[in-house]
Amino acid sequence: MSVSDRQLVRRLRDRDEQAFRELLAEHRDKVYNLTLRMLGNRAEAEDVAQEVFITVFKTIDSFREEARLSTWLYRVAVNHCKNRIKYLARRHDRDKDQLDESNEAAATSSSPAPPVPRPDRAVEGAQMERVLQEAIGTLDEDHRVLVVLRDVEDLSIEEICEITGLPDGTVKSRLHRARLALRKKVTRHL
Amino acid sequence: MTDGTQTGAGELDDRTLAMMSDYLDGTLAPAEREELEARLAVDPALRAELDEMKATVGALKGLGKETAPTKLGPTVEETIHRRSAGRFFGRRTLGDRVPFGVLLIAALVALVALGFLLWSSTTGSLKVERKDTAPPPPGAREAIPRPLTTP
Repeated sequence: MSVSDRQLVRRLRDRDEQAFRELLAEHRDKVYNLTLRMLGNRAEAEDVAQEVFITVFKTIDSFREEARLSTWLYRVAVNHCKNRIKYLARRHDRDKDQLDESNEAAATSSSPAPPVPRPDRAVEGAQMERVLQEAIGTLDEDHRVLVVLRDVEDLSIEEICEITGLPDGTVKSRLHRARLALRKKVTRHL
Repeated sequence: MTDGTQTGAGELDDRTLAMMSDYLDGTLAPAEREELEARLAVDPALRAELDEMKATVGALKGLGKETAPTKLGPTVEETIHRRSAGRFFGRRTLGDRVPFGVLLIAALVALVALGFLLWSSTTGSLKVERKDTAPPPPGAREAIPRPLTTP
């Protein structure tokens, strides 16, 4: 960990409000970008990003300084994102159950995957981004984390191992499976 | 697949896929890179697979970097302020700056003082009884004290 990081952590432990503002200024875009790519929804991403920084403020004393501060921050963010994904999935299932009960007569499709965008709507630029974002959203959270950290956030495999606590080989094999799954979903739009 | 026959889409084994991922990441060991490149040279289907994966990874890397909403910081500070019962990021009102205990004691002291005033007032209220200061009626003579006479 760098000297400036150590000083910042010390000030954060002293509950120095200015230090916290510095931490926010330096990392808020990265954290927000990660939560946005993981969750695919701006409101949810903003909410989770807020919770990440609040958790950091509350639990900075538990940071053991073995990793870089940014790595720890990413780890907190990833854990929050995974929890939110599970929560949203449960809520989605519950809402779906209620909908099914109220519409027993209606024969509805029970496909768990989000709707795939029509080819005519998937064109260049922003629409391609939407296609990719939706494809990322269909991955399970373990694979999604790896694709976002490696291919979107451009972190090294070593950093990803530190953040996820997974061994090198597991990260690589899951990453290539995730890429393969993504490739299948977006190939026709590329 | 490694015997020189061409690869159909979807027939790749885990090792080949892992090699392709590492190849794209630039982390494939030299010996394996040579092996993969040799196979790519003779296997158009494998080359197509790699190109598709490369395009996917390239598209992911090209995803826009979003900036956080400007209200993120203030909202976080406000939430910490609220959840810490005003201990952190306090800056607005007297109630935020002065601890609740101090405010409570001040309110109790004020209440006791008010009670004492009411209790000690002869009228039972906080109104001060005014003396009659109306001017004397016209023609009234001012009472002049007379000197004492000695017998």
